[in-house]
Amino acid sequence: MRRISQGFGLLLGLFGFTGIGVTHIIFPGLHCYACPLSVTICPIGLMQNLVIYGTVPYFWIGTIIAYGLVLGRGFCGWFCPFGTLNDLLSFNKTRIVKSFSYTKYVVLIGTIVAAWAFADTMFCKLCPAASIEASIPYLFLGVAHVNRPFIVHMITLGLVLIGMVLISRFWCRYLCPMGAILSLFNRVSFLHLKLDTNRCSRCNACAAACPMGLKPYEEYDDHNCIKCGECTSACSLDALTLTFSPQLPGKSRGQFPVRRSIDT
Amino acid sequence: MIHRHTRALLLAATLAVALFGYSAIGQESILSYTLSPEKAEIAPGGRAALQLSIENKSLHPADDIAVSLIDADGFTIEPAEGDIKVIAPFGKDTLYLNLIASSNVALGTHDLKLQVIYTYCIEVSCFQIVDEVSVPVLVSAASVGPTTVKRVRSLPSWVIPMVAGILLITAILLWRSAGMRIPLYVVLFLFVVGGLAYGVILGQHEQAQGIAAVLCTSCVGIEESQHEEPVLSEGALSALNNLSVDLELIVYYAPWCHTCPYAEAMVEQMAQHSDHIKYRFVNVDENRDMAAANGIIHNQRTIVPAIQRVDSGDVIFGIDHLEERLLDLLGVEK
Repeated sequence: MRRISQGFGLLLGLFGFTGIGVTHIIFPGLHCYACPLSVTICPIGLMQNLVIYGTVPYFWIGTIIAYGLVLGRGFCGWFCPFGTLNDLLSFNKTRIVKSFSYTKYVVLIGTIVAAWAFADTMFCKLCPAASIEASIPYLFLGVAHVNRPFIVHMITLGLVLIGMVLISRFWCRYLCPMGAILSLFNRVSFLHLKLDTNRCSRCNACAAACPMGLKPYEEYDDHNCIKCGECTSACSLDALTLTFSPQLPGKSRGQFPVRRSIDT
Repeated sequence: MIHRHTRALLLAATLAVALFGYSAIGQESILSYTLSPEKAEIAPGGRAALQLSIENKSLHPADDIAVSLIDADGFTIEPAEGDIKVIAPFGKDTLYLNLIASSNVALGTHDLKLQVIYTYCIEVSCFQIVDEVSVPVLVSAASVGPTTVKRVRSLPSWVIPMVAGILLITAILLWRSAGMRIPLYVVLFLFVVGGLAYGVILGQHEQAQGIAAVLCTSCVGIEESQHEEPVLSEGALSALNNLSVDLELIVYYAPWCHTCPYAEAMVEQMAQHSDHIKYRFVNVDENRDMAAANGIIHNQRTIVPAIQRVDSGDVIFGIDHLEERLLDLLGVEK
């Protein structure tokens, strides 16, 4: 199911092959709008441009909050093409280093400050999604050339790919500014993890399956959770479920899970 | 049947309306000017930043726009002659000037004049038009000292409330109190509806689409931004001397593209060395249809800077090895 959804995200990202030009839709993930086949707008690229122009971004804010409310970081787990690439290279599901995971907020703030200070889209010049979706395609289309910016793009892409291979979802955990924005909505998004504390035995199977390196039985509403649902499949007791409903008091929040044996 | 007096009256009224309309339209200036700040404040021996926004309100481009300060004892501007090569029909451009007062300038209000001279062509008929822009200046000893401000990016006024709002929402979102959930959902829902509706009313969805539909080669790091004037090589100059046919080039640019001025300057320089080269600049933000019609589109994306040779329709994109590629486009060998 998730693979189909991720495939749909990739398809929507590359819908330009159908001949449709750029639409007004802001993409709910990290996806370079310079990509020759893109029909949607990169939220981070647009954000930087709006900072440069000094526009109060009403349209951007409305769209991003809507995305945040619906899925939160669920877009990272179910839709984002760059997240899908992270998934494909997820070989090593190491435990997340929590303090490092705040670097994505530093990247987000740095992106905004740099756009304002240099009046330029500085993040785009380093963005690994742009490396794959703009630099390389335009090299083959004869627009780009192997020059210093191209080499810088390839270096950042190479480093991020190495990071992805060594640590699952490396980009999403530590660096993605779009993930940083969507993570703010994790505690209110309609798509969320629900923990049945009476069923959970704290066996750690969900933690072993989590590509973000979380312990879902403790961190089910963590800002790093991408709601991919890997933990729900891994849980033999069905203690964790993905649900789609407002996160209202008394609806889904259990107490701290009690240790139970599997056979009870 | 209309009485002949009535008919004469109607004819006279029609003529009057036509003359009034003609005079009203005729008096409408081709270029309109907005000066910021409206009244500059300056100290003796000091400097003040001026921003002259020029809007072309006509159907034809305004060329070679030169701005200079006239009849202003004790004042000078930098650059001495501000210069804009062309403003496309219904286009806008901005000149950033520094007004400099000498140390012995009298205190009080001075009414300075900026003279704007430009060429306006309708088909083959060209006119040189001279406009004057009033620059009221208050010279006071208390004015801020001699600082040069050029293209300074001051903190926009909306930043502080914006940051406060973001911090507030972030605090609410991270707040674990479950009791706040329903009011929070209401606030967020209002933000979604209000943001989208007001954004669409302001045309921000069109702006967003425009940003995504034009690819500036330096913006996503396909090429390096160039901030220095290009210098033509000796080889290029001699190659240009061999050019024997008249050519027209169109430079497609976007005002926010960091690489475009380099491409524009190189074409300008080549045109200065060869009378056979004519050129014009086209802002793709405002002339997307023209860009589309002329093939400045690569896989649905308008790419800037792009230089097109009009007779052949050939286009080159970006500025990497531009001199070499431009000479190739012109059909001359280095």
